[in-house]
Amino acid sequence: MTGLDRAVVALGVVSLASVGVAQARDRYQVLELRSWSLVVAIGLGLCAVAAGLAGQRWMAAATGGVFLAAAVLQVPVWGSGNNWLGGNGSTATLWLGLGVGLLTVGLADRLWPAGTTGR
Amino acid sequence: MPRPRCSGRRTCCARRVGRSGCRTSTSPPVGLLNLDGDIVRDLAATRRGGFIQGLLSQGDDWVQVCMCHRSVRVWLLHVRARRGFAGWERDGRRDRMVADAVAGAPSARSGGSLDPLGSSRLSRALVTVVRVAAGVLWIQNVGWKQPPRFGEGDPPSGLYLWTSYAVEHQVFGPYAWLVEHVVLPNFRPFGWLVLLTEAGLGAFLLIGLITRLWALVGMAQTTVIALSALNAPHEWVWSYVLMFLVHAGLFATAAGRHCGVDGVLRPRWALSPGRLSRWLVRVS
Repeated sequence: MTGLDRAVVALGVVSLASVGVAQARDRYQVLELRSWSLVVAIGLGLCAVAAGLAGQRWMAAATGGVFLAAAVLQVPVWGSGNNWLGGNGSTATLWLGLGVGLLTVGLADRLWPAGTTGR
Repeated sequence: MPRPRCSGRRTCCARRVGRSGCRTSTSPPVGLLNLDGDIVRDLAATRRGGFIQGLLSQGDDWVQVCMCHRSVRVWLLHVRARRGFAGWERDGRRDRMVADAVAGAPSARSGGSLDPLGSSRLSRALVTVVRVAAGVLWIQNVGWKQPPRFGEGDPPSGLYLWTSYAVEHQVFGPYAWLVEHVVLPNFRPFGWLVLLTEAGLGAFLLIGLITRLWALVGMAQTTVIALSALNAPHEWVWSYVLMFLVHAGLFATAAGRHCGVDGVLRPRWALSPGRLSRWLVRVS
């Protein structure tokens, strides 16, 4: 497993761990995860872990793209009266980080190929 | 920096790929590849029979190296002194040179290191914990800055209320004037700007991507918050000072290079041509 794959797995594990972190309440509450946002965190987290373990960079990038889309969607849904996704601004921020991270790592081979010696 | 001297049986030889002539290296490498051009476990090479072979990238030049290991050890000491890294570890019957001059995340198994962050796993873990905690701080505090009103209304609450403290409990006159006459009358764009800035801080510090740039943004944002809330009732002045210093620490230690995305991608950025790559190396 390469460093990039380990990074993809780690980002997936962070998404899965956020489900536990979201159980904290009151002043210790870091983020909200309810209803569909729980599905997003668990489903995409598992996808990222699988992508990392299998070394499938395209899958990591795709998972990152979905995370980013979910983050962008979460903000206006949270601001509206009908928060059907179930997260809040903190959830969107976490997904933004995971999305950017997975996209960057997933596309690293295309953007910055290793072993470029053509100078 | 003094030139490395070969103290073994063989002579050192470092030459530019595709060019004739032979010269010794006089500046720290920014990357180490094997002869196929692949990065070897970040920046590592194999020592076999007393030799190390590999490609070093020095700035914009590629340098092919073939050195006796003792001279390389001397050379590594120079690099260690300049950039913080280095060491040897035993891998079966071979010695492995483990060097990470780019990411500054070394694995020193023998010999002392001049850089505590470079040599201590505990130090790197603590830097990681501080970075992640700073990210979680911002993530949690995005949660109460709800668009589209951001607390504007009667009575005011949330971000609007805290921003108005810059006027009610003035810290710095010109800033209070700016808030009163520019920010509060046009609060929604300001609210979105704060939301996006703090979301970026939480997201990028958590994963350790472009960390040094975001650490600077964190210092700036902490200053802005302090100018609003420092004199508010029940606020502890040191909390803002500490918040500022945490980000200063993240900048100083380039915290994303330890268990962050910066640490994984920085060797590639360093070896890639183009402005974006050079910029990423600088801000990571």
